[in-house]
Amino acid sequence: MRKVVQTMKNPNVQLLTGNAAVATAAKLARPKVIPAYPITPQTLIVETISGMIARGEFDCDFVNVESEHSAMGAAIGASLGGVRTFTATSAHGLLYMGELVWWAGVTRVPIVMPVVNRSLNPWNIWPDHQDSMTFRDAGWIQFYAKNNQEVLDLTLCAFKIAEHHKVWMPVMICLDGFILSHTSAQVEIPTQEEVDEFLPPFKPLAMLDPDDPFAHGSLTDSKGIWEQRMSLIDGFNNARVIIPKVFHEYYEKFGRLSKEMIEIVGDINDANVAIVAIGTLGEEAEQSLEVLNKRGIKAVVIRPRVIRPFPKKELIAALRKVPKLLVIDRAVSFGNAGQLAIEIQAELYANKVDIEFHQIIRGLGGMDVTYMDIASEVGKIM
Amino acid sequence: MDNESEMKDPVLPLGRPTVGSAPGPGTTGDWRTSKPIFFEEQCTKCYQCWLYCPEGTIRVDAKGEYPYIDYVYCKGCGVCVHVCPQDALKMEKE
Ligand code: SF4
Ligand code: SF4
Repeated sequence: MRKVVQTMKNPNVQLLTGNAAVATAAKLARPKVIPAYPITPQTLIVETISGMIARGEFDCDFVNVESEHSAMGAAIGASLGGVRTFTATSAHGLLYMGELVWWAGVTRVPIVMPVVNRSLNPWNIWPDHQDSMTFRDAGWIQFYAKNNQEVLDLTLCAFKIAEHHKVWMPVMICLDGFILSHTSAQVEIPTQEEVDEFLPPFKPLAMLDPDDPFAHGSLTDSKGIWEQRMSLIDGFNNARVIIPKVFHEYYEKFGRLSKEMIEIVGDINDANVAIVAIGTLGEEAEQSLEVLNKRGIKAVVIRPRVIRPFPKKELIAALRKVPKLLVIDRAVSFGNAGQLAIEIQAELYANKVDIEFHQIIRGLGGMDVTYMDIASEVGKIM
Repeated sequence: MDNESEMKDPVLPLGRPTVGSAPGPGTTGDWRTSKPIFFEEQCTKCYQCWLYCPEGTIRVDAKGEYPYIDYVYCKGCGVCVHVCPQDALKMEKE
């Protein structure tokens, strides 16, 4: 871990909320169009960005749309017009833009969009992963960040990955509402020059051109749909290779992120139990390791920071080394179980991994989950 | 498959406009119960009708030419009549 303390030599460390980290990363990436609509807990992203644009600090068109449905519609149009495009949303906003989220996903429009995770209860504004999990099948790459620094890092990587010509698909960066979005923490901010070196200008694969007209996503027969869907599956397989490469480039340049789609904290070769969790639950689980160690339990945290494509190979390689597993989900696939648990179980079976499997659902609707809670859950299965 | 050059390129859902691409034989003119009639004397070549026709059946062969309607595909919706500022187009029962 690089030290991130602000000194005279390192003036680029600031106290930022998760939302400010998103806005800062977005500005550094130089998108040309941002159509967006405010919704708690994402509102501060839109407010911060529109302020930057209004003050002339950020050369970008902000489209003041009347709804999230229009925000995604405008984002699709702008991206097809040949420019880097960004938007942001949360929970019900994501549901309202849902039709066009699928459009962007299955027709490959490389938009970058943070989703500030919020519960989908009719009225509850606090975090869980139900909103973004509902869209895990929509053809978007999905990242889950554990802290504000990772929010900034993943947002910058997201543009490079989305716009890679062998990937060419949209990316969602998921960050827990309030826990990250409204909480200030130290964030090291790269300079504009460094980001420009890392992230080249937008190079469109196909671009709307009145002199050479084409329609995008028009009526398609089953043969065409088959071809597009198979191509999307190939695209995700390509992304499995490109994502670690981009993360590694980022690491080489900025000293953060590793080339892995999962992060392992603790000694995996000497652990009697692994905890799998995503987002801030993963970081909270890290905090429980010391307590568990004092209780004689050698635990390790395995945190996927990428959920789509699902990092099967990395997870299985890690899980082969531990005898017991506790998966903590912050969302539910009603009628079955937590999404992470379902997907990990399938891989364990397919790969014949001999492991004792446990799952719990925690943290719905903003319910606090402390490291002590996690330690006691691990204690119960030992 | 770690070699980027061996990776498959994305298949994008791009469609080129073609004549008569509607389902069936594509001759949307069959749908018509009324048709727009064009009166050249009144036309100022503003091309609003060309721009608005949802079927793309109003043609302008070159800038400065009068528009004309391809009745094989004109479905008789009347949009062109509605947008024409000069009353150079009028709807008539078939
Ligand atoms: S009636 Fe409708 S389809 Fe026919 S030319 Fe006018 S606008 Fe086009
Ligand atoms: S809208 Fe009317 S005036 Fe304009 S080009 Fe068409 S027919 Fe002529």
